[in-house]
Parts: sequence; structure tokens; C-alpha cells
Amino acid sequence: MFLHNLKYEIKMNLRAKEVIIWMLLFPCVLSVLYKVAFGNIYENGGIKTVPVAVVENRKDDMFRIMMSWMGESKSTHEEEESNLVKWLTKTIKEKEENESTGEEEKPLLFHAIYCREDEAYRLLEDGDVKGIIFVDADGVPADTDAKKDDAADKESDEEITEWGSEAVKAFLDELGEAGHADINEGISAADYLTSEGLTLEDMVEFKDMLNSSSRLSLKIKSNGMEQSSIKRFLEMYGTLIKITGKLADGGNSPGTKNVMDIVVIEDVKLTDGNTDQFVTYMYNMIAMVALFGMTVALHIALYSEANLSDFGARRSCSATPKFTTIMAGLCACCFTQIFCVSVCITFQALVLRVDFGGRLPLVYLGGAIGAIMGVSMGFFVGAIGRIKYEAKIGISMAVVMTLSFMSGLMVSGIKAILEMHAPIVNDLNPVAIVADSFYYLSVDADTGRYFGKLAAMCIYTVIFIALGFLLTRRRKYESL
Amino acid sequence: MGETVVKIANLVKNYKELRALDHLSLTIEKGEIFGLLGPNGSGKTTTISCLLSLLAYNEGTIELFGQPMTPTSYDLKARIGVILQNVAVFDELNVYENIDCFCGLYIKDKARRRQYVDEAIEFVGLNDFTGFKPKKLSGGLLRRLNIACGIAHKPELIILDEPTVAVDPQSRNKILEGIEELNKNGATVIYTTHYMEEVEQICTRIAIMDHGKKIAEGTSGELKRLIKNTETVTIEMKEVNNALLNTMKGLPNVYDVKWEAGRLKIYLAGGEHNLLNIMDALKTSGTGFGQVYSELPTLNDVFLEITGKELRDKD
Amino acid sequence: MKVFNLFFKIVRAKAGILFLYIAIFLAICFPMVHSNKAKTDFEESSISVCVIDEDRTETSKSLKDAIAARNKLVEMPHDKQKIMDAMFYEMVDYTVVIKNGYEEMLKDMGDGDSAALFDAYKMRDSFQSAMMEQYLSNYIRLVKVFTKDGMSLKDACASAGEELGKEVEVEVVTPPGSEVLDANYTDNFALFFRLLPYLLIAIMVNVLSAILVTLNKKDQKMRIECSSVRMSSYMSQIFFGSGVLTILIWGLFMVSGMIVYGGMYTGLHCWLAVFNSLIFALIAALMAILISTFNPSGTVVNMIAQILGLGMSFICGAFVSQSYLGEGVLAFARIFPVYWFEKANDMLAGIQKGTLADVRTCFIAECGYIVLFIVLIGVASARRGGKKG
Repeated sequence: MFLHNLKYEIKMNLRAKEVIIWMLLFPCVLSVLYKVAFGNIYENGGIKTVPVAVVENRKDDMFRIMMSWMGESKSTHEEEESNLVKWLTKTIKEKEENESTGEEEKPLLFHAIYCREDEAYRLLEDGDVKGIIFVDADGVPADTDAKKDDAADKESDEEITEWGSEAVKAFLDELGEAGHADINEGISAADYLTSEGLTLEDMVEFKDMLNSSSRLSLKIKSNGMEQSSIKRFLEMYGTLIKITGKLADGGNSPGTKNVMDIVVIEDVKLTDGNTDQFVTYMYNMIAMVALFGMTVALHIALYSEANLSDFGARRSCSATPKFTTIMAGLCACCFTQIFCVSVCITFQALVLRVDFGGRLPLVYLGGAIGAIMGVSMGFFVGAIGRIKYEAKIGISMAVVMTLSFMSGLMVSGIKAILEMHAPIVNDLNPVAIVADSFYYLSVDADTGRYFGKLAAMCIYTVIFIALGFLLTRRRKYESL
Repeated sequence: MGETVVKIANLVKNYKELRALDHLSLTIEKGEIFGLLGPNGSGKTTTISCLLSLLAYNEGTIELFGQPMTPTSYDLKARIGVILQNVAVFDELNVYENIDCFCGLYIKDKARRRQYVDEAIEFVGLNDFTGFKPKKLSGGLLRRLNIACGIAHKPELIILDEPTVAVDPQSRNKILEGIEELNKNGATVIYTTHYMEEVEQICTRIAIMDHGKKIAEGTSGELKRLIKNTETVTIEMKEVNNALLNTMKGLPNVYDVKWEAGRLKIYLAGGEHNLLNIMDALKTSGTGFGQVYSELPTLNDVFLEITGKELRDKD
Repeated sequence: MKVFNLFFKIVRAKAGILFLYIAIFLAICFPMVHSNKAKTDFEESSISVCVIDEDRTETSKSLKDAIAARNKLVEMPHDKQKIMDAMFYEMVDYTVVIKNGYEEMLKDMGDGDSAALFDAYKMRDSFQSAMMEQYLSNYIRLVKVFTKDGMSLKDACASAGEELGKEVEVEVVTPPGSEVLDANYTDNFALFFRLLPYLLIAIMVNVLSAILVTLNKKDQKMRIECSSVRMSSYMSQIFFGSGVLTILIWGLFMVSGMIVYGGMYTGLHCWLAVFNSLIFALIAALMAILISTFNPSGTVVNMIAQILGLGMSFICGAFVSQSYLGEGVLAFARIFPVYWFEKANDMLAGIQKGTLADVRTCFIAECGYIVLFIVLIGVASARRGGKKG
């Protein structure tokens, strides 16, 4: 009896071609659109190059070198660069290329445009740059000049070379984020620099560069992360100059010059899974399809309750118990929906190459149980009272879309906000439960939390099926 | 008669204030084609629904095949075939699959089911349409499919609730013949309708219902014998004078005379040579007349006489 | 007006769904629009840092305080999974663990020695994490430099924190010659209009298409064709009914918008946004009519509503601002009406640069879609009529 019913229920589900086609087409088309729309947002590891204008009321080579290290730069007016600046720029670029092992390219943080003030304002107004950096003379230039002269008097050429080369090295180290300086061992820094064609004058120039720091300020049009990042960068630059300057002052005292080499941070990788936040859209998409099981399962009660349809009446007076026909209906819907979810997962995994984090079979398992949960919810809604069938479809759809919204299908931050302020909402939201199971599967090393979510789905399923049977338990009706 | 198939005793069903069934009692024997006749809203479908344990009822008992009928009496349900008023077939399944689907609710054995389904298709004459989806079938064919779905498992008791509503005459005859054939093959049939001609044509016994009550029961002949009228003679004539009317009224066995719309209707109760007497009276009066015909009482007359209203809504 | 009345009788049956959508939309929009106030002064987008202090010494606390002075400190238990979740969803940008023995190690650290003072939990590369790495490294460098200068560790830490706390001067400027923004139409409130296309499409298809499909069912259509109502009159009444319904739905949204806005709309930009949404409501209605000519079933209508609503909203920047979408996507998005709606809306809210003339261009583009859809509906219904004959 059961198998016979199951066979026909599945046949009927699959023959509702329009529904099946849309159920398959819908998530696939949307996945492609998501991929197109968001696929590149998180490229470069989430770092976006920020265009910035630089107005130099005072020439600061040090700053220029720093900017060129941070990204591309171009100038609206030609200027002659000194031998030292050229060399430093070149060395930094080479150093970078050596360090990047090919797999990852260092993201370009800034795109600097050197221009005049009026041009800068125009760029800012057009939105072509996010901010304008003003490089002005510091308030006390005379003082530093005096100091410099003072120092130059005292120091011999050798000392300058020694100091200058150490400072250059320290500076380069800083850029390399400590320790990997490829200034050849065995050769002293001074010899190395000399071999690179740098002269005593260059060393003096470098020292001047360090000592004559500029006053930097920023003008922006509106607030935002990008604007803040410019500010942070300027501050970091300030500190860098300060430290390098200190090192210069500290001169030959042992220990300090190696400060730049120290490594104090150990990176702990939190997960080997997919850390791209964009992928949550895909998780939510699968969760949504799973929950669409609701609309598929609405007819189960309709077809088995004598007071809801003629089919129900016919079945009610057949020799097959209602429990059997309902179970067959449920199983058929589960089968259909699992099929739809699987197609969706397969499409995302194989065609769109979404990274689910290596445990694909468990992704299918999560999707399947999610689909069963969706079906159970549809069975329950279908069994409720005498709301019109069409109305039930509309309501289910609205409910699924709202739950999906809260789970971040449309605006990805929603779930995180809820997690902060009302985590219970996420724990209860069926769409979030399914989506989270995929997330945990991807980022967690173990499967504890994943199975926790599966358990939640199972609890929901049991509750809704129990409620559904409770509503359909009547065998006689007051009226038909 | 042999075994009692259906026994309904003192059945009462209330829809809130409305009393749909009022102490209804029915007994149906094996081998009968039992007609449940009554106007729309008289409680025929409610009776069937209670009988099938779909509806909860307030008082009374229902027994099928000598056992009380409950929603879980699957062994009893297996012996019943139901064809309800509305067509209930699945749009997604074709003719063969629909019959097989419903037959499968009764018959587990595959080979036997296949045989039964084929027989049912043959029986309702849908051989040429087995691969058709219901949407492609005409109204009459759809009704036949609906019936096939109900009888494929060869039930002992077949319940048909208005199976011929909105069916063309050809399909209707086919359906009625089919019912008789099923009966011949041993099935007991309960047939509800408001078409008295159908009932008269096929039913071995009839219960007439009105306002949830059984107002009469018996064979067609028995029912007709319940009433005074045995014959109605109709004479077409352009005009009638009181003298003629009085003459007619004075004839033996005549209990009523009506003249309307160019027809003189003379109602008779029993007796012999009634038509001759009338013709003689006509000749004597010398009045001109057209056609003259005599009709036997119909169930409509029975209903009319008992309830004072027509069986069918005047359309 | 028989057909017109019939039309609205069917509408009543669909009113539940309509109000359901509006209620949900309001419930979602209200808190989002009122979540943060508009600013005119510079306010730093702070980096959310989670500092887990395992050392619990004065030195480590001093560092924590220094970090807190410049960043938004997020308190979290030392639970790797919780931290991972928070970082995944960018609720925390950077997590640093000040390891047990930090103070001792800092004291003992030799010249160029490296010491694992911190654990940094890594999720993905970001500007924020790069900045924080620099911050921590520089902090320790400064501390080392200062102690070498003879400062005590405590003072060195304080000085380092102070040094790193120095901020660059930032000024929010209105570049000379730029168009003044309409302060009445804030980018917060613009969110309400930004999300509107999804709702309008979903509702129009759900309500209007469903009604038209009902009216166009074969039997009903034939019955009406046989009736004394002239086909042209029938069609015009349905068109009229659809028009009235569209305006009604749009009106409902505008009233809901006022609830969110907190009163009558004020200012030119606001009203232009309202006008923009009116044009889009018409587009959505025409889209719904076009869909109804293909006679989809109940579930299918819903699917189409979602696929169109969600799809276009994503591609065209209804859910995330257009500025987040790539050039290629936006170039593609141009073929959808939602793109022009969103572009106009963004310009009105000052999120995108544009003059009123640019806004007008968007309006014209949207009107182009109205014409296009009317033509398509004409072609589709002519084809259907032809098939039947």
C-alpha cells in the first residue's frame, strides 16, 4: 500500500512540471546572479584599493616612497626624482616581488594621484578619490634644519654611511614587516648600499628625509571605512617616521637598530574553511530551496482530509489508513524536495565552483534534512483549518522569504546583527539553521556544531509532523 | 432476500441549528440496486457521508455487512466502492494511472490489480483513452473515469452519489447500463439522484427523502400504489365549459379534474374502462378535441402527492 | 463597471497577502532606517577589536587601554568558535590574544629577539587586520625604543600608547561648486526606497498577476466573450482596474513610508524619490501583466515573483548599494529597470554623484521600460489571441 502510494505521489510531484522547473531554475538562476553581483566583492581578501589625491605643498620624498609601496601612484605633473628615491622605490618593489611567493598578490591599498589643490577638490567632488592628503611643512622646520646642520658637523663621512645604511635597512625591514631583509648577509649594509651605487650624498639625503617630517592632514567628503583607512595609514606612517627617527638618534647603541626585526605576533588560523562572507548567500540560497519544501508539501493534507478536498473524501473511504497515505505523501515530497536541493547544491558546487569546504557529502546531508524540515512545515500549514489552498501558498512563500531575509539572503549583515542582539532568533529561524549548518561545516574543524544544527532541524521536523498529524487525526468531520 | 448489507437506524445529523437527517432508518439487502431519491438538499449526500464514516453524526447506528461502521473499519471499507458527486481524479496522472492509483488503495497484489484496472477500463469504455490526462477528457468521459476509479477493486457494495450530473445522454446510458451490469455480477448498489427516471429505470428498491426524513420506501410499483392516482388522462382542447368539467368530475373513479394551458387533465384512482368512459362523455358533450393520452403515475406524482411539491426544482 | 467590480472582488481575496508583505516590510525597514543618525562631522569608522588578555598584568592592561582608546573594543569570551563567527560576519575585525607571560617576555626580550607575545586570530586579509598588525608591532617597537632610552616599562608603555594615539587632522569638506545635498532625504531613509523594487515586484506579481490569471482562465474568458460586454470594454475595465490597484498598492507603500519617515515627506529630493517609486510601481505592474499573459499557476507565479524580484534587486543594487557592485555587473544591470530606479534614488540621497539632470535621465530610462512593456504585452496577448483562433 505504502509503496504504491509513494510511487504515485512521486509521479504526481514530478509531473507538476512547471513547479519543478521553477523550483530548479529559481535557485540556479539566482545563484548565478549572486555570483555575478558579489563574486568580486571579496576578491583581494576584502581589500579594495582606495583612490586618494595628494596635494604636496611641500615635497616629501619619504612620503612618496611610502605611498608607492602602498600602491600605484601617478602624478599629474612631471617631476625629477633623486637617485636615492629611485633606488629605494626600485628596491622596495623588488623586495615585494621576492616575498610574494606567487600565490597571493599583495593587495594595493591606495591609488595615489599627485595633483594641485583645485584638481584634488574636483576629483573629490566627482567621487574619483575618497580623500585629499595635504602634505604641509611642519610647524618647526627651522629647528630641524638647525639640528641637521649640527649633526652633520659632528659626524664623519663614515659615520653617516654607517648610520644611513642601517637606517635604510631598518626602513626596508619595516616595510617588509620585520626580519626578511634580503640585504645579503656577510656583506655589511654599507658595502651593500655602496655596491648598489648609492653615494655618501644619498645617505645624507636619506637622513634629511627622516628628520624633516611633514605635517599631514586629510580632507574628505563623507565618512566611511575607506576614508578612515586613509587616516589610519597616515597615522601609521607618522609612527614609522618616529621610530626610524629614534633609531637614527639612538645611532650606534646596540639593540635598538634591530628593533625592526622583532616578530611579536603569531598568526593563528581560525579555520581552513571558506572564509569568504559571500558564500553565506549561497548557503542561504540552499536553505531557501530546502524551505520551499513547504509549498510542495501543502497538498498532503489537502489530498487526504475528507473535509478539504474530494480526493480526501475518496481516500478516507478507501481501505488504506490515512496514516499510510499521509506518510506516503510526506515521503514523496521529501524525495522531490531533496532532489531539488541536491540539484541546487550540485549546481553551486560544480558549475559555480562554490567552496563548501571539502565535506560535500555532509552538505548534501544537511540540505536533505533541511528539505525534510521544510516538507514537515508545509504539511503542518496545509493541515491548518480551512484557509484556501492558494492563500496557503502565498503565506508560505512570504514566510520563507522573510525567514530568508532574516538569515541574510538579501542583506548579508542581518544575521550577524541578530546574532549580537537576539541570538535566539537565529537559533529558531529554520532558514538560518540550515544555512548555519553549511557554515559550520565549512569553518569548523569538528562537526559538533554542524550536527547540533542537524539535530535542531530534526526537532523541528518531529514537532511539525506531530502537529500535522494532530490536526489530521480526526477521522470524522462535523461538516464536509 | 438474503443478507443485510446496510442497516441504518435512527440516524440524526445536525449542522448547528439545521437538522440534516431526522431519525433516518434504512435497510439494504444484498443484490439490490437501492435508489435514494430526493430533491437537492434533502440529505442524500449527508446520508452517504455518514454511512462512509466521513461525517460525525449525533444519534443512530450504522452497520455494514452486519458490523458497525467506524472510520478504522478498513476491512469493511475494502468491500465498498465509492463514487462521489464531484470528480476526484488527479490531473497529473493519466487515465490508467488514476485508476491504478485508487485501486492500489484496496488491492495490494500487483498482477491482480493490473487485471482489475484493465477490466475497469474495459468496463467504462475508456480503452482508447488510457494515456490521456483528465484535462483532455470531455465531461462524460471524465465521469466514466471517476466511476472506474471507484469500482476497479470489485467492491461488494457500490455507492454512487449523483454520478450522472451534467452528463450527456449517451454517457448516462452507458453509466446506467454499467450499474446494472455490476449489480448482475453480484454487487449491491446504492444510488442517489434527483432524476426519477434513472431511479425508475434501474432501481430495485427506492427510498424517497425530503428534509432529512425518509417519506416513502418500496419498489417503484409499491410506491406508486401508495398514492390514490393510478392514471392521468390528458385531453388537448381549446376551450372547456363548466358543464363538461362537471360531467368529467361525475365519472366513476375520477377524483380531480384540472384545465390549464389547453390541456384538460383528469386524475383517476383505480377502476376499469376509465378511458372509454371519458371518451363517451366527450362524444356526448360534442366538444372538439385534439390528442388524448393516458399516463401512469410517476415517482414525481408520488412525491408531489406526499409533500405537495415537485421533486425537481422548476427550471 | 461590472468587470471592474469583479476585479476588486478578487482583489479582496488577495488583500491578506498584500498586507502581510507590507507589515513584514515595515517591521524590517523601521529599525534599519532608524538605526543610525546621519553625521556631518568626521567620525572614524572604528576597527572592532577583540582583545583577550591572558596575562592580566598592568602592562597588558595598558596595551588594552591603548587599543581601546583608538578602536571599538568588543568583549568576547575566549571561545575560538564564537570569535570565528564574529570575525566571519565582520562583527570583529581583529582578535588579539595577549599571551600569558606577556609582561615577563617583554621585559626579557633581547635586542632583535622575536617573542611570541600575541596570538592573532586570522579569518581573512583585510585593511583592518593589516592596520592592527602594524599597530601592535609599532607599539612593541616603541616600547623597546623607549626602554632603551632609559624609561621604565610602565612609562614606556604609556608613552607608546600615547604616541600611537596621536591622530591626523581630518576635515569634512564640501568641495567648492558641489551640489548641496537635500538634508531632508537622508541616505538612511533612502534605504526604504532602495528596498522598494523587490517588494513592488513581489507584490505586483503575487497580487496583480494572480488576479489576471484568474480572470483570463479559459472558461471565464469564453463566458465573457459570449456575454454582452464588449471585449474592448472588458479589456479597458481590466486595465483600469489594474491601474487603480497599482496606485492603491503604491499609495499604501507611500503611507507606510511616511510612518517610517515620521510625517509628511519634505523637500524636493524626497518628493522626487516618491515620484521615482511611482514610475517603478507602474513598471512592476506592467511586468505583472506581462507575466499573466503566460498563464502561470499559483506556485509558479510566486516563483517568478521571487526570481524577478530577488534577481533584479541583487544585480541592480537594491540590497547592497551600487557602489559595491563591480563595473561589469553594473554594465549588465543597465538592461533592467531596477538599475535606473536605484541609480536615481542613490543620486537623490547623495550616495552617488549626480545632478538633477542625471536623475531626470534615469526617469526617462524608466519611462522607456513602460513603453517597452506595453509593446510586449500587446505582442504577447496578440499571439495568444491568434493561437486560440
